[in-house]
Order: sequence, then structure tokens, then C-alpha cells
Amino acid sequence: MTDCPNVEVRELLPELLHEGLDAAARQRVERHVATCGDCAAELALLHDARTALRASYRPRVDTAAIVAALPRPGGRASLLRGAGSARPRVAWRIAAAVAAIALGGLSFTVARSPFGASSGAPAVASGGDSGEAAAVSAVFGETALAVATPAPRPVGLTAGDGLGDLGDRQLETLLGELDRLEAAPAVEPDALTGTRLVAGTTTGSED
Amino acid sequence: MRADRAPGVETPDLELIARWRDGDERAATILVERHANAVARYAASLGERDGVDEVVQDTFVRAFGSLDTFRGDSSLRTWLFTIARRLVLDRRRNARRSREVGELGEGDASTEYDALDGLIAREAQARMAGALARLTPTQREVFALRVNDGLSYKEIATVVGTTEGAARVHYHNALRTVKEGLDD
Repeated sequence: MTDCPNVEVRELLPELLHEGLDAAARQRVERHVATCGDCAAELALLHDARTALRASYRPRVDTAAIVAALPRPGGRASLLRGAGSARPRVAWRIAAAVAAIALGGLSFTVARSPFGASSGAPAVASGGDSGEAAAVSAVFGETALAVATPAPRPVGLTAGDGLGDLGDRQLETLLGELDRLEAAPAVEPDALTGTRLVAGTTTGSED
Repeated sequence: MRADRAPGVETPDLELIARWRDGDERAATILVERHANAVARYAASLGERDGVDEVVQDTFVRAFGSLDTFRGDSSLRTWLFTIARRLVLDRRRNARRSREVGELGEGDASTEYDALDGLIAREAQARMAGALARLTPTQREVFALRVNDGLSYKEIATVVGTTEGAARVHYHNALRTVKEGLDD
């Protein structure tokens, strides 16, 4: 079996097989195939190959079962209520991690503001305080508490009491959690909700 | 619910996705019916055997759970194949069974087409099966995506994780191997 030198037409033979050509292209290719033994043989080969490939496995898909397992449509919340218990927990862990980073940044900002310096103004809630740590852990789980645990402070910087800048270890922990989300298309966390919740809890507990 | 198009005219996937987002659950049924068999065949072509149903269901669950991230740059089927491929790879890594291997494509060809021999009656189809069995796993995957599913080289590159040029080379190498197998 030899190959036709018309590469352009040969490249379109699979599209012809799958009826993926527009009318003009289909007519042009069909006219060529009608006069070219090599292309006619190749088109027949592709047809037989498709038959053989499809004969190797005949799917018996239970469409109803698949549809029943799909998340319900209509918004992010329903998307999070998908099959399996892992997705909501994963989404909360992402939200917790984002909130912890935001809290760390807020704590640093408060500490460096006129109100957050050595005057004794109450610091943003930190993971160092046992009561607040328990609250953080209860709401956000261990991941948030782990990254909220005060890291050794870099020399020369002043951060909020308990929660300083996240150190390399905390960042690696956070990134490790995210990296373990294998084969899971990204689900956008509801970061705004987490942030507002933390901000409300935090400011309420400053005193 | 909006009226469907005239008989014989398929509603585009993106339109069905938009309908589903608006709460039309019937749109999900249409999408599953349209693509599930192809996803199942693709998973089987990668050597998945007992877990095809699970792979297909997981593929659609993950896809519908993250439709916000689907931009429509590739076709929905390409995206589904990409998810399915990743799931099959993960299953391989986690399985640790003696008959399976860690990476796609090692030693799958003969296993798949031993089963094919039992299904094919006609000699011509048996010869084609034998020719296809000579393909490397990558050639078979690319060839099947092109011939069985009609994917473009660009879409194949997206699914397999290679370049468009490499996909073209794999396809033509596979085609040449099949021709040589039939000529023998």
C-alpha cells in the first residue's frame, strides 16, 4: 500500500470519515478520493480500523447512574455538594489556608499600624492563644491551625502577637495540601466568605 | 425548559452547559448520553478493564463539579478525555497489582487485543486487529483518538500531553505500521 503524495488531502481523510468537513471541503476531498487509488485504500483502512477499535470494547454505560451522581446545577454551593465527601472538605481546607494567609497579613498590618505597636493594643487573634486556637481549629480544621501557629519571626520585623509572617515551613505545609489535590480540577474556594468570617471573629475577640 | 432544536440538529455542548448551570438537569443527561460511550471506549483503550464504569462516572462528576473552569477553548470531549486519562493514570499508580503497571502503555497492546480476537469473526477484521496490535501504546492512543474519535492533532496533543507536531508524527507512524501489518 503506497501513500498518495497529496498530503493535504490525506490529512483530511479522518475528518471525512467522521463527517467533520464543511460542504466545500467534503466535495473536494471526495472528488480526489474518487480518482486516487491510494487515498481510497487509506480511507477504507481508516474505516476498518475504526470498526476494529470499536469492536474491542463495547461500552454499556449506565447513563442514569452517572447523572444521579452529578452535582446539582445552579451556583457554587451546589457545585460543592458533589458526589463524595472529599470535595466540601477540600474546599474548606483551601478556604482555611487562604484565610490563614490573609489573617497573617492582617496581623502584620495591625502590628505595624499606630494602633498595633508596643502600646499594648490587643493583637489580632492568633493561634498562640489556646482559647482562640481551639476556636480556629474547630472552625477551620487542623490545616488552618498549623499554618496559623506562630513561626520564628524574621529578625528586624515586628508582627502581631502569635501570628507573624508565615515561615517557609508553614508555606510548604499549605502548598503540600494543595499539591495533594490530584486529578481534581480546581474548585474555586469561597475565599470571601472565609475572610469575612475570620475578620468578624477576629475583631470581635480582640478585647 | 427551552425548546430543543429541530430533529437531527444537535444542541452545542456549550449551550447545554449553560442550560445546566441555569438549572436544567435534563441538559446533563444529554451531555452524558452524548459523551459517555466515547469516554468509556477511551478509558478501555488505555487498558482500563474492570474499572471503566467507575472511571466514566468519576470523569463526569469531576467535570460537572468544575464546569466553571471549562472555558471552551477545547471541545468538551477533549476536556473529558483529559480528565479520564488523568484518572486512569492515578488508578494505575494506586493499584499496585501485578498485572497492571505504573505508567500508561506498557504491555497493554497484547492484553487488549487478545480479548479482541474473541469478538471478531471475519478474517479481515482479525488482520486489522493484528496490525493494530503492532502499534506502540502511544501510537495506539494517538491513532485511536484520531480515527476512532475524530480528534484534531491539537486536541490529541491536549489530551495526551504532547505537542501538535508530535501527535501528527505519532499518527503517521501508526498509520504506516498498520499498513505494513496489513501488507504482511
